[in-house]
Amino acid sequence: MRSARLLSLIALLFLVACSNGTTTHTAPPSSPPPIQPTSIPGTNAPLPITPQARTAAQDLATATPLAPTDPPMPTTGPTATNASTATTQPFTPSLTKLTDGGCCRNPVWHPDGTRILYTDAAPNQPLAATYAVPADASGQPAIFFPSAATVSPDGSRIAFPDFANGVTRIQEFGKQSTATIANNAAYVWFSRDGRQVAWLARAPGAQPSSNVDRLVRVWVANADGSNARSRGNTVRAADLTWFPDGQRLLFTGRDADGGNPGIYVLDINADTLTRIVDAFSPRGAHLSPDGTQIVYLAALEEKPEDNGLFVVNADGSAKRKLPLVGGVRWSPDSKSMLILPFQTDNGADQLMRIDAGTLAMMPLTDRATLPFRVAQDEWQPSPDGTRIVFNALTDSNIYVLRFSS
Amino acid sequence: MRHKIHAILRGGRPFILQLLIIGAIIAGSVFVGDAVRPTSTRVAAQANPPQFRLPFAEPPGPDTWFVSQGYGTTVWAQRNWPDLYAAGQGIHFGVDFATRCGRNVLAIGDGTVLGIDGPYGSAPHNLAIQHANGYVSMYGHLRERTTLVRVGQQVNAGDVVAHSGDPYSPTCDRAPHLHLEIRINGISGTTNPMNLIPADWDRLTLGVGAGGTNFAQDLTNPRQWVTLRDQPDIHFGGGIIVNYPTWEPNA
Ligand SMILES: [Zn+2]
Repeated sequence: MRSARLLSLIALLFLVACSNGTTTHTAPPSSPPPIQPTSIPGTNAPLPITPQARTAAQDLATATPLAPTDPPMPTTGPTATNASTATTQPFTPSLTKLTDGGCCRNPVWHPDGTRILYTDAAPNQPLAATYAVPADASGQPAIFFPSAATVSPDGSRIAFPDFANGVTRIQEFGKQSTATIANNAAYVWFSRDGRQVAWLARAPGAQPSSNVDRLVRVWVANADGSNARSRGNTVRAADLTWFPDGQRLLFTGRDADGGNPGIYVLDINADTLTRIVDAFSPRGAHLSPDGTQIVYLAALEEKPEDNGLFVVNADGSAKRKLPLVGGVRWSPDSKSMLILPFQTDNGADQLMRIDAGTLAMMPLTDRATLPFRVAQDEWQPSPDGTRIVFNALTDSNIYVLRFSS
Repeated sequence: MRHKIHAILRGGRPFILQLLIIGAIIAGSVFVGDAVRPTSTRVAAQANPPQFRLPFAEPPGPDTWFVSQGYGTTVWAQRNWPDLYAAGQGIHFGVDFATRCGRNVLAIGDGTVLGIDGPYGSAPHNLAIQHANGYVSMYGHLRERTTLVRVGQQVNAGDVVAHSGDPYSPTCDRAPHLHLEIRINGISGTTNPMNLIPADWDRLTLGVGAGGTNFAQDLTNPRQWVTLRDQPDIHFGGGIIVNYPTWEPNA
């Protein structure tokens, strides 16, 4: 009983720590009160950043409930001690605000590294368009393509949905002709060289339950629309990723019967499916850009030490546990990962780097001097590895954070 | 006022009277003192409504629980609503907390047990609690018919009221999670729990990925319903609201 009360007290303290501490007004059930952001115990310390970046930081600071206090939450295990021993690198990071008006979500880098792409409403047309805004804020957002679209990683092609005809169309930049993929206008994933696409097609049968990966077939085709074929028998897949060789696809999921959960590799030429990681509920698997390693979150495993972020070789060997959990991405050189650690307070985010070899951690930003908050894990490293772009929780605008020269 | 209501509900009144109270609440009104008054009167008089709390005692994490699907127009719901969410206008009308079977589920607020395995869906077992502020919290996919509470019983925020389960597998090896709803307008609709439960929801999405915490962007109205908190209330039986064109990578 005493321990139960203690647990309740701890839970209460946690809730207090997690809450914004605001008093919301009463509202009828039909219009519940939204949780309002509070003013900040702002830092008045001058920010050693460029005038443009100062504006961005101040925009964020005035709207964010930031309390740069607690350290990131370590995972259980012997490696959870490195964070406190790392030191901040000498480079002074900066923030640049790219949009106004709370426009945006899911910003992504154009492969050339100079522009950010996002989807937003366009004047005089019924469907949204793809916008581009210079990553250094040197210009205003402008329509990049008159539809929601995906640019291939090599920048050679663009894919976009044609809902009226139930197809995806692919255009090679600089050429007139457009290829057609008969896929019910499903999203497509380009291979690294832009020459192939993959998509998921729902298999017949009802979705059995929430939180169960749906039954799908993986399809691939050449980017010119030729040689479309389904692969891998029927699987339950999520988050497709191409290997650099253009022959294999990575995804998390289960087999066709719903068993054998884990991370799979599909060889599209041999049409073989191999489970490389056995995990009950793998989440957010990311393949390193060079195709040699995978980072993923393991959760709900029976043994606590089996939960957390792990790095494995692309064949499933040499599994190693990272000292933190959080939102993680590979640096473009595949030598390190960037992570937004899961903090146990309601304060600012902090960007950190984890060396893929040693697992040593280095903070890239300071929560007190450069506070920012990322919405819904929507962020992406730049192609040159010196910046990230993110959707800010505080004002739903797009920001670029530079953390390296 | 809230304390007065609680006092009435806790005051040793006959069980049948408590049922009448609950019936009055469901009808869109609430028992205040000796009279049944419109909800708006009650709300206007309430200075500080109870904030709800999270349904678990443990902090979030891969060992304990995490958000596997938010409330609203998730990519998951957009893909699967015909099979799963047609009754709720096509959106995911609760929050899913992934957690191993058997975890203690806590009442998110003070209230009275309204139903056990009632007509709330979320098989195999569910529990509904009526709160004095007019909301009903509903806990779904429970492991067993709960015996920790009984209908009509007063509970306090943080009381263990049930155990989490798996909607798809009795052996809990497929999709163990708690589905939490907050019902409105009696029990005929739902609202977003993330607007009523204080938590750092955006941070809870870090690293868990996929279609449950991403929202399907309506290309005819791309700024609407794309965040964890900006999501529509729904009315059960209302028209589908997710039949819009979208271009999303997550399955
Ligand atoms: Zn659910």
